[in-house]
Amino acid sequence: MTPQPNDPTQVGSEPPRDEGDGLRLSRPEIQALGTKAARGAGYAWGQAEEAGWAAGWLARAGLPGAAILLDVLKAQPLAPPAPAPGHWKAKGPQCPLCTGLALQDHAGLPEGPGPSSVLVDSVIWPVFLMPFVARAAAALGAPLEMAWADVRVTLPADGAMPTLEDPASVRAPEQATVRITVPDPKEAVAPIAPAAKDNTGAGFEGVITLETWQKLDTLAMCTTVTSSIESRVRAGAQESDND
Amino acid sequence: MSCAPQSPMPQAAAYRRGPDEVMRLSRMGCAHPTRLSFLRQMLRRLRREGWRFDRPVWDFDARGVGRAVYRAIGPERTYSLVAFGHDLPDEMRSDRVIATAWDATFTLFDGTPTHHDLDRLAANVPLQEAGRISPRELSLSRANKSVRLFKHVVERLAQGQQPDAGALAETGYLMRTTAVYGSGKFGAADREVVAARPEMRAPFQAEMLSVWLTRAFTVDLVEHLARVRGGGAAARLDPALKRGLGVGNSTGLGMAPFLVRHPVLLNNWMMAREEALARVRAQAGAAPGAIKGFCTALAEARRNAAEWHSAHPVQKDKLEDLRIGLDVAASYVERQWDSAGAHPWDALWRWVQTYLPVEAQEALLAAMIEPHGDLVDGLTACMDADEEAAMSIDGTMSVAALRKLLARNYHWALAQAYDTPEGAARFWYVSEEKLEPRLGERATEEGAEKELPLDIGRQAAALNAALDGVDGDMPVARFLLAHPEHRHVLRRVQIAARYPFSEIRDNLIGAELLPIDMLRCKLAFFGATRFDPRSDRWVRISLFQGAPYPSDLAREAPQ
Repeated sequence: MTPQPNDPTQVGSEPPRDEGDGLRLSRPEIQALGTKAARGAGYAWGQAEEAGWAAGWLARAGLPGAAILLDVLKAQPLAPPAPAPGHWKAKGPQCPLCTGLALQDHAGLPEGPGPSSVLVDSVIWPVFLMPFVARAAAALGAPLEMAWADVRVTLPADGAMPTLEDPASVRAPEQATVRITVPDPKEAVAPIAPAAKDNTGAGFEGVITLETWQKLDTLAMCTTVTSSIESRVRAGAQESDND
Repeated sequence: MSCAPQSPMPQAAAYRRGPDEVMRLSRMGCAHPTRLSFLRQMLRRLRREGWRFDRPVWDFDARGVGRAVYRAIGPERTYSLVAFGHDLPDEMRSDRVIATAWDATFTLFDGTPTHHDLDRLAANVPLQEAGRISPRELSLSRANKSVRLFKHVVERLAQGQQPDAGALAETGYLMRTTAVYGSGKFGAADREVVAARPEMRAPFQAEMLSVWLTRAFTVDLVEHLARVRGGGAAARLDPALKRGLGVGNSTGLGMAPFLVRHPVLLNNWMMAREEALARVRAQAGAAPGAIKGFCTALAEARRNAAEWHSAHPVQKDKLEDLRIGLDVAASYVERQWDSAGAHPWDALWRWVQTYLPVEAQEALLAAMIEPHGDLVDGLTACMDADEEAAMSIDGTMSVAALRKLLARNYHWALAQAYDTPEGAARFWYVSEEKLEPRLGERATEEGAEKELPLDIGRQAAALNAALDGVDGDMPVARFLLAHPEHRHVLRRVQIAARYPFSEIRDNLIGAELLPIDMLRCKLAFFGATRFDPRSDRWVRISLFQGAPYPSDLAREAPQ
């Protein structure tokens, strides 16, 4: 038997090719890369999976989800959230992944988003909270409005993607205090998208720079193991494939 | 399950097997394809909707290098398999993911490709993982020749003769695919975007269509090469022999984690199959047509078992069990089964469960479902999943409720010791080279600290231990704040509460684990036959053997 009939002796992954306007990733690729990168950055698997999902969600909303996730992962170490009714006070800049997950988990509890508003102190890259607040809205069955800096976004109750008038301004603030409320129906700032889910792929933002890809990939590669010869051989058939 | 409220047969619930029986690897590793399998679903749809097929491009040289396009034209949309043939030196031929060149490479294009599209694909598809496709493509795959058989068939046809039927039956295919990538991989279309189309809603329909058209390509290619060599004297492959050829598939560990990572999908597949069996059993009587159809299916299963070969010791024993079990069943059905008695299908199933080995039980399940299309085919609409919706954790659940769920649905996990060498003998990881999932030996290999979270049983036990002494009224949201390491399994425990078949109820890092059991279960849902392990973690199978070709579909009765 030939253990390695065709070993490319290649380690790691190759970047997707640049098509002239940056690299173009599909949503599942952003999600998979994001998950591995978050795990590589030290988050638990259960958190990392949701970090990857959130990056894909942001891309679906027309935002550079992979780049935002990288910003979040680079900003470590950050303070964990301290949920309390009405006001989540911070001991330092808060991690938007842990805070987002806590907001989602606490939906319907006294500390969480619900009928009374929640003020979350200084969160790094508050845009990253959006996917989790969207889930909280779906869990509550009520739209939730997020406001930070000069941004106001409504996350619909049916899990639909929000309509973002100006994605760049949503993306911009590096750190802000965020208020989450159930909006007055008469004052909803953004029209609620009509479809329950945007399945057309329109508005998807999959372009990332080579530098972003490389940094996320470097983190992702921290989750991989250099193979032993034994495991490499055992992963395949015990005979030649030339039969 | 989401489809349960619409069941036309609510009484079937009482006949359903439970997850403690169904979700064991010893049984999942005996799974057989059924009429609910994904390739069967696809063929039924193509026939029902009157899809048409053509081959607008065929441009191959005398060595089999070139390109072809096979179109499937449906009522609303057209899909095209774009195939590239290559001249591959033998020493480059590997079925592993580490390969960099193949005999043929493919993509399923959404629509009819232009010359510009074909040129773009020609620059990328042959490179597979190192190339890049676009949202216009739904799959990316490659195949290698079954070298000896391919050569034999070309030589015989070139001489105006038919190939040896025995040789064809022994291998069963001219080429085998070594990877079929779908949803979003390497730039392909996101499944979420195409899943709204009725023909793409069921799982793996793009992949199945791609492989089915690949089968037509493999026959066209041998006939082309025979013509090149034999000229006017060359024969075409006899239709009966051609029918017996499928497409092979060679696969390894990469497929195993899928079943663990997609708990809701796994549940929906299992639930559909189990509900189908329950509906058959719940019938008060057995119609003559159904009995006849069952006997035909049983005879077909026996024929298949006779032709199914494997050199692997585990599979050899299973095949022995299967052949003997099916013989005993056929004899029982002929002589003793009271098909006119009360609930005859249930009576038959009870006999099967009592007297047959698991391998034969699961084959009988497939045969019993087979003649009941009217009763069970609607279940295929329940086999996809909105996995994103199931990902949210209900943070308001109390710790006491979580403990109860663990006791009810993870008793198999809590009873296992993980601090022994056997209990945690293995670890799953991703290899640095080519990013391939692998299984390591904890005692002797490095890298366990980078373990993939497939050790579900151990995680459930750890969560249970961490809950010890925690206030039962505490919402799990608060528990997770302090214990983010348990988030992964806590989500699964909540999923299992709603989806009873979501979890494989065995230790996936234990010394006794046979990864091929996981592969067999998944491949059976695809519709794979002739499961032939080449090691405990590598397997060859066949797809579409005995199925119609595109040119046959319109003139044959539905199955």
